[in-house]
Amino acid sequence: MEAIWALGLFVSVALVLLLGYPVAITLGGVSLWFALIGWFAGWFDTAFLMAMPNRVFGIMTNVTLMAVPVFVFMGLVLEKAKLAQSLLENMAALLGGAKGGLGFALLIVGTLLAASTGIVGATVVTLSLLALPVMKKNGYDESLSAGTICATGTLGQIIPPSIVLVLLGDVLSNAYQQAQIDAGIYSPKTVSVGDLFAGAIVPGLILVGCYALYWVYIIVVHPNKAPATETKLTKSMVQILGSLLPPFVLIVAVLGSIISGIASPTEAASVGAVGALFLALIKKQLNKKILMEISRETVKVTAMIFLILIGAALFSLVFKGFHGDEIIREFLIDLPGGKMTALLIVMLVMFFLGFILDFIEITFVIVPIVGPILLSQGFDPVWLGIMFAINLQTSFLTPPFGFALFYLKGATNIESSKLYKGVLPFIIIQVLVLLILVWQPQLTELVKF
Amino acid sequence: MKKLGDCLGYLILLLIFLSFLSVLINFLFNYVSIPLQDLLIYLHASCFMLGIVYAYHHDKHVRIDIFFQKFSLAKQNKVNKWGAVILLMPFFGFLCFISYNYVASSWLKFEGSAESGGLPFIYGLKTLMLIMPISMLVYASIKMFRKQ
Repeated sequence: MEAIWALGLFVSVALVLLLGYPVAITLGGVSLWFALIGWFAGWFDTAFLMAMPNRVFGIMTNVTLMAVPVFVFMGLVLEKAKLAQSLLENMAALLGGAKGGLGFALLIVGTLLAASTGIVGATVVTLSLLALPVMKKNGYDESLSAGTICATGTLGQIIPPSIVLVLLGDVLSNAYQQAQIDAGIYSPKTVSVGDLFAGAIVPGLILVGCYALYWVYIIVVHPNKAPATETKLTKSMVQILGSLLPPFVLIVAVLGSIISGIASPTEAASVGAVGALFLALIKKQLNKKILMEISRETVKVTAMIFLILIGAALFSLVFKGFHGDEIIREFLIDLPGGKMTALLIVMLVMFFLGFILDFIEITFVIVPIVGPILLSQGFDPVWLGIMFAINLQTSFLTPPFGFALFYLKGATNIESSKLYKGVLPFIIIQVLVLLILVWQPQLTELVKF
Repeated sequence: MKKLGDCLGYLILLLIFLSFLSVLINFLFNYVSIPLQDLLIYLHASCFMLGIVYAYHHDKHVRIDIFFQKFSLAKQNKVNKWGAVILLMPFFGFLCFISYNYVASSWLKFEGSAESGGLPFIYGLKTLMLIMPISMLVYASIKMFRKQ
């Protein structure tokens, strides 16, 4: 009977969400109604709700999550500084003369942007507005270009410093501690955002490397899809490399200080934010009006994320009140094939939920439920977090509901069928990289301090 | 609302510069200031707790808009109106109700910081847990009455 309540809560939330009312309020509201009805029916103990104020206060004083507004701010400054535009122009001038050169320029710029801004929607839109017309004009295959833009634009999920990994890091560290306490270990090991960032570097580079290999394949087998273009090098080599340097230094500084443990994610992000402001000032893209616009936007995005956290906190309390976590635990533990089957099922569920939910909701709603179960079965928390992140990125690329596809379609008027054909190879690459990580899990441990 | 946005915008800038400052102090003098760390937490919590109503004003709370964006304007308004009555009001009403004792007991003892040397205004910080839901309830009610 309790299984029905817990399942009913989950399904109702999903159905009501599809009506389009704000996610955070829907999560909280529907859970509250379930708690009330369950209470009247005698199935729900309201003591579970009494933990809510403590949860909210915990969210307010969570030091890890303080990095969120600072990273959002940094990304917005870099976006307003028109970093992408000058980077793309310079790289195209540098590489455009070679076959497929524009494609490689797009890959490099996309990766740099993903690392520095980490805002998926903005990166996809910017790249598609800037790169797609140029590539089309120069005779590049439209499907191929659009697919590459979607794939590199969503790299911001996985390539650190990414907001996704900050949120996942917080949730996973709680899940990890809980898993260990459940197992009777009272001095639990911890996992930090820095660990997750360090672990994501190699898998992120493997992803980009595979994208590049695919472009090499295109150049060799279908050279007419990616012709060389006539470019005039108007700027000197030094100027071009000079424009690449600042964002690169910024990323290295932010990442380096977090991973080496000198600075907390928030502190490192604040260094990055001040650096980004400096960069924007040099490029003369900053004035008081833009600065205020950026900080107001940061407030909105941050408030949006944290309200989802608060709504998800109520959802998870009510879900626990109906013993939903125990039901899922029993289901996942008794599977034939052991922990790999459990992981496969969780990954598939997350993949499909990725069609309707954003990464924030999935991180806050699903990971706290399944995280402790999977971790108690012996998966490494860093590895698991990176699998989740790549899985979600894949989900956002997959037709017909992938978020990245909507962003790209919104910014250009490409035909759906061409777009779907273009992203297909990249989806295959994503799945391959996931399999590589299953085969060689130590890839996430290569970078460590 | 515009004023609120500007104020919170300044708070965010302050948060970023103070946290940059704390890195500098830590780097140069190898000193971690606990009141400064606490101030950062207070700033951050105020920004998003007060920003929730601001984001709502600008319709920035993310929706799953696969179907919503295809709805007619009348239908979208209907979702918003019923959503406010059935989901928003109960949810924020509940947050208010459940937090009241929690906040009140903090005020009664003028709760200070758990860490020694921290800022002694935990009761003020906790008050945000009432201000946030009340601001949402008031704003949503005003919006609804204006429409009718």
